Amino acid sequence: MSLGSRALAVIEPVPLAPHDRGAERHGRARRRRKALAPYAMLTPLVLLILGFVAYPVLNVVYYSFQNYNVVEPFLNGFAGWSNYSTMFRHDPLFWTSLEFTAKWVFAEVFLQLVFGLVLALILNSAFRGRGIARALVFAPWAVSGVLTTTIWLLIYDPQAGLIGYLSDLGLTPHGFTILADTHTVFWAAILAELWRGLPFFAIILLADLQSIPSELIEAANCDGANAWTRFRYIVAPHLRDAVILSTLLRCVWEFNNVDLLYTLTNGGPGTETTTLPLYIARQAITEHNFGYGSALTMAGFVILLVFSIAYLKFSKFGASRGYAP
Amino acid sequence: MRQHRAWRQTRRIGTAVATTGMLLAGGGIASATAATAVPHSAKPHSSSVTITFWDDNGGPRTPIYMHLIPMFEKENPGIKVKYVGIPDPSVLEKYDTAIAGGDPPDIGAIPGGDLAAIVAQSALVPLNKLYQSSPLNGKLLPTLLTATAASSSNDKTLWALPFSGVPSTLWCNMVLFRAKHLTCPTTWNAFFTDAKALTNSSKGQYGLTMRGAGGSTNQLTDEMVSYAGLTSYFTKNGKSTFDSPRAVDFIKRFAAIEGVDTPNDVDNGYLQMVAEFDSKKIGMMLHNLGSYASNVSALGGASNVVGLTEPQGPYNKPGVLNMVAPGLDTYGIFKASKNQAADWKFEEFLLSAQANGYWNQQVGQLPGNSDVLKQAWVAKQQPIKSMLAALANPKTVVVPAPNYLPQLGTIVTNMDTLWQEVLTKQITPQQWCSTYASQLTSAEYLWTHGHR
Repeated sequence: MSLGSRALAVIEPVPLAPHDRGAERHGRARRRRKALAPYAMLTPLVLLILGFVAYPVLNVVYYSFQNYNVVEPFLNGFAGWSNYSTMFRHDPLFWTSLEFTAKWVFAEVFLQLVFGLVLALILNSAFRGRGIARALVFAPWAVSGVLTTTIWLLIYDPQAGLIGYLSDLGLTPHGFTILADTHTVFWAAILAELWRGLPFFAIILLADLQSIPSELIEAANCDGANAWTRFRYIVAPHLRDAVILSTLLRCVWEFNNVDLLYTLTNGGPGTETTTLPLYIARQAITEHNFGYGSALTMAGFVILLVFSIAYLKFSKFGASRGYAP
Repeated sequence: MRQHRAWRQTRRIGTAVATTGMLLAGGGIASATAATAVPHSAKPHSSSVTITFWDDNGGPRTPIYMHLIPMFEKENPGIKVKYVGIPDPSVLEKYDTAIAGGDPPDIGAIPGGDLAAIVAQSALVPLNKLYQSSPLNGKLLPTLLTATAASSSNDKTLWALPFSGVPSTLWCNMVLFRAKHLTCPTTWNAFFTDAKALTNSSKGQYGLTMRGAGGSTNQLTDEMVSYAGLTSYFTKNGKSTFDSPRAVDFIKRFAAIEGVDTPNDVDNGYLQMVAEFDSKKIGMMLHNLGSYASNVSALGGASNVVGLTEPQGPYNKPGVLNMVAPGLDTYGIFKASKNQAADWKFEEFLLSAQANGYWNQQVGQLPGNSDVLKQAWVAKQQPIKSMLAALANPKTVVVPAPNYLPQLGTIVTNMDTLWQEVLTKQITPQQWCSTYASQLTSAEYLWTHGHR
């Protein structure tokens, strides 16, 4: 017998007793269950994502290549790229609505961030009545878009609202309708949305401000740092990730803002305040043109997707905490 | 109380007069062979059933149905009616969504202008046979009945039955008119002159309140047809007449008084316009019969309000009035309903002289049931009498609207937006008229070439 044969003989499996075989099977089953457990736990989530995210997106992709209009069913059918061609080459309202959307998002997010930061810094300091002040600042966040519109429509009403009083004082022309004037409607809408959106930044930034270790501030004070220096070297770096994330979220939300503009101006006068989502809503819901509305939706989806990825990448979100994308 | 919804889009159709129409037979439609389908189950279920009813102007009309539904349920103990009030501006959207989702109501009030779009989705049950065998047969105003059939088909199929007509109306605040020793104008030239005479902007008083936002195009169309003396929406070869020089002339003159003899009305919807008129500082408002009740209430009594047809145009021969046929409000039964016999029972009740009379008296519109015209309240309402007289006048030219075009609602909504651009001087009246005419011509082309 060669050495090899002896070695093989040595490792030849020894038959297990019946109770040992049972334990082995049990162990294998347990290992298999353990290996499958993460997948089982992920399955509901995956199914939900497929049902509530993938299906609608794929559905929109499908309809974007269709002529689908419920009041013109005789024209329904495969459209190829024609909806996209119309959108990019023959629909000036697509471009103007996109331009207005960019202007709207930039103005809103910038103003909300600046004023939200100022409010957060004020509310983070100690003063009498701070609790009430915080409640008042956060209150608009709890108000729905439609209710916000109602409040601002009353303020802007030329007969009964603030504008009416200004007219009575001779400060504005009698009958001046701020929402009907192409020169003023943008800033009137911006102000209404600013009122509603500002608390979001105030809340997020205030929460982050309160997590700054007090030792850092005390040490800076001991070193003779003034308020600006403390803000520049301690507060701002600490707020960086919160600002990046909150501005990204707010950009997406403001891009998709429909409720306030729809009820406040309905995109008018004319198409003066028509954002892309408002235009999509008009095409799909008012004009029943779901095919073209789907193509517009895909454009908005891709724009937001690319913007979000680029924003997170170039802003180096989370880099300081080691989870940058 | 005015039914803004009925205003929206197409309405007008049909009608050559309520009174003379009553003399005509409506049997041709009722016996249309095309409509042979009968709702399943000939009798209401023996056990109690609940049917869902959608009101197309929830809010203003809710109290009326809250009065009528208990009456019906008392007469029909086996049927319960679940009332759902749909906000007036979004009725078609709600119907579209419900139909697409397979869950429309059992029965619903449908503005005549939306009927074609709903019929295009094969959502309704034809009612010819039911109407023919019902005590209602011959009671509904034939002109409104004809208009309803023409709204959605070319084979006299009745996909709904009319319960009200809403002609365009010029409302005058007689307190302001009397103060200036003027009368409510009957010609367009007098209209523009009076609008200027009644305006005193330093006191916030204006001759007219204008509709600049949603619903403006329907109103403008009525005015344009009346002013320009148009006899049809289309020429014989299918081209729209809305870009004719006379039509453009009206749009120019009308747009020019915005902000001059009117307050800034660019974003006026129905509510804002009526609110301005009811503030007592506005001389005139162009709307329809539906706002009668609110006008009387706000202006301090019927003696302070006069409602007339649209004025006579400068291009017309003396005494000749062109008017778009009154808009319609209809009731339809949905194919998906499992209780169509109960639905029909409810529809019969709503169209009965008692219920229809109550409904139209509250709203101030032309009733669908001809027996209602004999009720005392009709004779007491000056605007309704004025409309009936105009419709009965042989010199009146009633212009039917192409409600059969399923795209009409979309077109007028688009034109509403463009009207704001005219008022803010972003486009010219000529461009507005050309765009409107072009869209109508395209839709008519599709219709006449069999795309239905």
